[in-house]
Amino acid sequence: MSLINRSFSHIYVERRSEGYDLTSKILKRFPDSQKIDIAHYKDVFNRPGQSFPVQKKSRKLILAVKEPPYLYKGSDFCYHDPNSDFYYTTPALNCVYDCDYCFLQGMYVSANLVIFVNTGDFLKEASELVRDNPAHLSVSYETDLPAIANIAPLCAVWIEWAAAQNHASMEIRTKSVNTGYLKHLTPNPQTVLAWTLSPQTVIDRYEHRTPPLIQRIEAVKRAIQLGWDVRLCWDPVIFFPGWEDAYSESVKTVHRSVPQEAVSDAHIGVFRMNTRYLKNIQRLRMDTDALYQVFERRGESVTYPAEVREKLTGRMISALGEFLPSEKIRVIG
Amino acid sequence: MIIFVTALPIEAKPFIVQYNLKQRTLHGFRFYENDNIRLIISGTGKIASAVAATIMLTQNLVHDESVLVQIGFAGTADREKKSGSLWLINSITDHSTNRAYYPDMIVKHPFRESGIRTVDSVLKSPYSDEYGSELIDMEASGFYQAGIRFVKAHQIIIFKIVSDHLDIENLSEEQLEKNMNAWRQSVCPYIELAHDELARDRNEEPPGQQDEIQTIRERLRLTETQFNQLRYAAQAYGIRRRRKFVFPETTSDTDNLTIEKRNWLFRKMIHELNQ
Repeated sequence: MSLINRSFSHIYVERRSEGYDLTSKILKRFPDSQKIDIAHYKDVFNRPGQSFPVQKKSRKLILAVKEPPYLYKGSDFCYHDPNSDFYYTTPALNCVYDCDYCFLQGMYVSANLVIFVNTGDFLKEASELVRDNPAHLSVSYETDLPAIANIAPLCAVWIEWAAAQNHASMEIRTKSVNTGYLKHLTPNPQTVLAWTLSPQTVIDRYEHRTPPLIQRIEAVKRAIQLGWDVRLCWDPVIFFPGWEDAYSESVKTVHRSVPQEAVSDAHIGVFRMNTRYLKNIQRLRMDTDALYQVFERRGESVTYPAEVREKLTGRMISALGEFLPSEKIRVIG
Repeated sequence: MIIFVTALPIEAKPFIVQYNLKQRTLHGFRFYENDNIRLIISGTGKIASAVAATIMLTQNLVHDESVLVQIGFAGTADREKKSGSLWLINSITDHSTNRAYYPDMIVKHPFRESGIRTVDSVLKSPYSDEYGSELIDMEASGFYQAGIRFVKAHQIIIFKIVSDHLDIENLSEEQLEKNMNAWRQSVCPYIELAHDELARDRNEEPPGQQDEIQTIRERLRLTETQFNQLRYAAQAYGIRRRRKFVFPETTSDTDNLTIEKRNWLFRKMIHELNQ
C-alpha cells in the first residue's frame, strides 16, 4: 500500500478562478480532493522550500487565472518555419510525466501542475497575434496538454481555434496515448499533432510514468486514421550506452507500423538544455546519468560535444532516411 | 530526527512520556531529548515559536528525512469543528500580514485537514465572524516561517486540537490534557511514518572521493577553477559509471613537477574522467 497521497489529492484554487467553467469542470472531476483557497497561484507555486523530487511523488493541482502576456516568443531550441514567427503559450505549467532530462525541473521550483482557467484570454491574444502575421504556435510547450486532456479539455479548444485561423500553424506535442479528445474534432491543416517516439530503452531508463513506445505508435496510427497531420519526434536524442541500436530499432518499429506518406515530417533534436536549468537540476538529482554526460557549452545552453552530436544526428538521419524522404527530416537545435 | 515544538507544557507532556525524553535546558527553553527525537517548549506567540524552532534547527540535527512538528491547541469560531477534534494544517495565514504559507501534504494520513490563522493576541467571541471556519492560534505562522529556512515544505507538520470556540474562560486543563493524550496515539505513528517515508529514498550523493581530490588539489596546486572542474568531472563519472574513478597516485615527488607537467597531469585526468 502506498504511503504517499495520490496525485491531485489537494487542489489549490485561486479565489478569482472561481466562476470559470473550467474550474467547475476540474473540481467536479476530483470530488474527493481537498480544496484549498489561495490568493495567487504564485503563493503556492513559487513559494520557497519546495522539493521538486518529493513533490513529483504526489503532484498537486493549482487552478489559476493567468495575467498577460499569454504568448511568448519561442526558443531557438525548437524548430519553426523560417517564414513565420514562433510563439508558445502556457495554458498549463508542468507535466504529469517524470522524464529525467526534462528542463521543467530546472525552470520551476515546484513539481505541481498549474492549469490556467481563463482560456478565453489566451485565445483572444493568439487571434490578435495571427490576424495579420503568419505565426507558428506551440501550445504544449511547458506541459503535455493531451496527457491532461481528460482533466482539462484544452487540446480541443486550441484545435478549434486553429481551425478558424488563416495565418496560424499550431503544434501539440505529446508522449500521451490519449486521442479521445480528437473524436469530435474535424482535422484541419493548421494543426499538427507531434509524438515523441523515444526507444523503449530510453522510456524505461529516463521517461518514467510515460506510455510505452508501442502504445505511442498506436496513438499515432489512430490520429492518422482520423485524418490528422502527424509529426514524429526523436527529441531529445539521448546519449547512453547502447544508444545506436536502441534508436535504430525504434525507427524500424515505427517504420513497420506507420505509413510514411501519412507522416508530415520527423524532427531530430539532440539533448540540449539551458545551462542554468541544468545546474539547478544537478543540485536536486544525482540519480540519473542523463544529466551527467560530458557536455559542452554552446552559448547559453549545454549539449553533447560536437563529435557526439554528429554521431547521434548522423545515425538518426540515416535510420530515418530508410523510412522518410530527406525533405521530411528536420534537425532541430 | 523528529523535532517537536509546543507552546505549552501541557501540549508537550504526552510526547515526553511517549518517547521517554530527558530534560535539558537550552537558551532558557525547556528542552527534552532522546537519540532520535527532540522536543522544545516555546511559550506562546509566533515569535517565541520561531525562536524555539530556530534553536532546534541550528543544532545540526536536520537531514532530508527530518520532520519538524508543531502540535498544540487552537480555537475556532466554527461550531462544526468540535472541541477535542484534531486537525492537520494545510494552510497558514498570518493575520497581521495576511501572508499565507502552505506545508506540502505528501504523506497519506487519516486526519481531517484545516487552514489556520495565526493571531497576535488571544481572541474572544465578539471577533468570531471575522474568522469563518479557520482554526486560530498564536504560533503556526512564526513556526512555519522559521522552519522553512531550514527544511522543505513537506517536512513541516502542524497538528491542532480544538480547545475552544473563542470562549476560553471555560477551558478545563484536565480535559485539554486528556484530549492531547488521546490524540497522541494517532499522531505519533503518523509522524514516525512520515519520517521513515522521507528517509526511504533520499537522493544520496554517490560515495565521494573528496579526500583523493583534495590531495591532488594540493599536490598539483590546482587553481579554484581546476579544482571545481575536477570535482564535477569525478562526480559525473561516478554517476555515469556507477563506480569510483581510479586517480593516479601522487607522491611528494609530484610537488616538484613543473607547472607544465602539473597542468598536463590535470588535463589527462579530466580527459580520462570524461571518457
